[in-house]
Amino acid sequence: MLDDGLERGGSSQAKTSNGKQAIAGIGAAPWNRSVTLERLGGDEKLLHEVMRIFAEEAPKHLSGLRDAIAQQDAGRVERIAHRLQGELGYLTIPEVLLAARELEEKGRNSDFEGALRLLPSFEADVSRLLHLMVAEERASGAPEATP
Amino acid sequence: MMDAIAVQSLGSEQPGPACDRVLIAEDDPMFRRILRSWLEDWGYQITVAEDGAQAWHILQEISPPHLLILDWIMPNLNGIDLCRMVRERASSPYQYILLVTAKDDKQDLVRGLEAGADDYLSKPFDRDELRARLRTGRRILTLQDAQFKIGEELRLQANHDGLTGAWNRTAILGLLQREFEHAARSGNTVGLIMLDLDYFKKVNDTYGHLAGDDVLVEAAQRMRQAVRSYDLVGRYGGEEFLIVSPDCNTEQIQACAERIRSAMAREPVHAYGSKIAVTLSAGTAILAPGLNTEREALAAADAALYDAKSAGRNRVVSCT
Repeated sequence: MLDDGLERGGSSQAKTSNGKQAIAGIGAAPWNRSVTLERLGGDEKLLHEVMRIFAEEAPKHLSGLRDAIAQQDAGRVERIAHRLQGELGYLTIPEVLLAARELEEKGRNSDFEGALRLLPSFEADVSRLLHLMVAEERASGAPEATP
Repeated sequence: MMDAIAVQSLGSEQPGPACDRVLIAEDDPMFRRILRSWLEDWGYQITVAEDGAQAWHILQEISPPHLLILDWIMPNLNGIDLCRMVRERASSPYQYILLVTAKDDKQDLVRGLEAGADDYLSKPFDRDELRARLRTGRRILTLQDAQFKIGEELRLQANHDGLTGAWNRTAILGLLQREFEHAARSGNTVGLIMLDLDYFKKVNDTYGHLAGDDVLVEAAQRMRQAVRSYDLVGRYGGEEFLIVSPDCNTEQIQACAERIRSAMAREPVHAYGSKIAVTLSAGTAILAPGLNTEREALAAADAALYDAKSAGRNRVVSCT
């Protein structure tokens, strides 16, 4: 479930007056459900599936990224960041997407210090994004996803 | 013919039969889910591989999909290497490859195309763009399919008698040559039957040439039914037929010729509104590499056929 992904993903977020979530660290680039829905051809069921998969996969990717950097496994850093980059591309958060791209480049260049510097804010952004997705789902009245 | 097929498919919203099956090789479950959902909506039949090695395994099947969507970065075997392997295999019919990746540098694009991809799409791909690119692939594959069918048709026409569907003279003599070479290697013998419809000129003169054509078609059909599935029936010329039976000895070829004679004589042919009693004469011979040549065996079968005719027709004579 989306909530399970959140538990694994980490932190919480602040709620704005209109009920939407603001993501600290990724500035004015909120999770935009309607844009993602449009990208997916307006298919609500598919959107829900995509969000569920992301909620399941993202924590595993973040954990893998941490391990790969710690073990200085450049290829793995590059692969995981590349994959996150692709997934985040659908979720329409350009700033987080850029951070994933930077992490991929750090991996390609075996720049582990640089990757380590980027990682905390990237992890936080992805976690907040997950929270925001859940909140949007609840606000839109969509049924909870089941694995 | 080709134009008709192409226009029909290009004008259709649904994929043509040549490319309605798509292999998706993608290790990311999110993209797999998105691709599957969209492609199924568009009417494609989907086969999914979760990595490159699994995709390669699927491509070894007898009838793999012709349209491939390959992710660049996959475990075990990446999309670029998979592309190269597909192209090195140079299989026919052609497989159209759409490479997808989050890589979007021009250099990456060049690398992907040089590896053998036909098209390249960066993730996250746009739904309409993906659909349009798949249609492009489908158009190319449909044209190829039409050309392939025309090639097959031409091959069939070049090798077969247009009236009876039997092998034509050139083809049956070529097959005889092939069977001779095969028999020379295996040490087996090849049976030959030369057949001629009795009084066929009279059939044409009495019932007309259209009825004569019907008789030829029916005779060829009864011959095919009387022989083994791997025996070869050819129209040697006019009302003469030649049957080549691989791995066959004297007794077997005599029995086969007798089955054909009997099948022809047993009941009349319904030809162009008439019931026409038709018989045939047959001469058999054995081709034994080392002992005789194809030409000698053919001459022997022909001589036996002549003897069958001289002895009163509607009979089988074997070359001794």
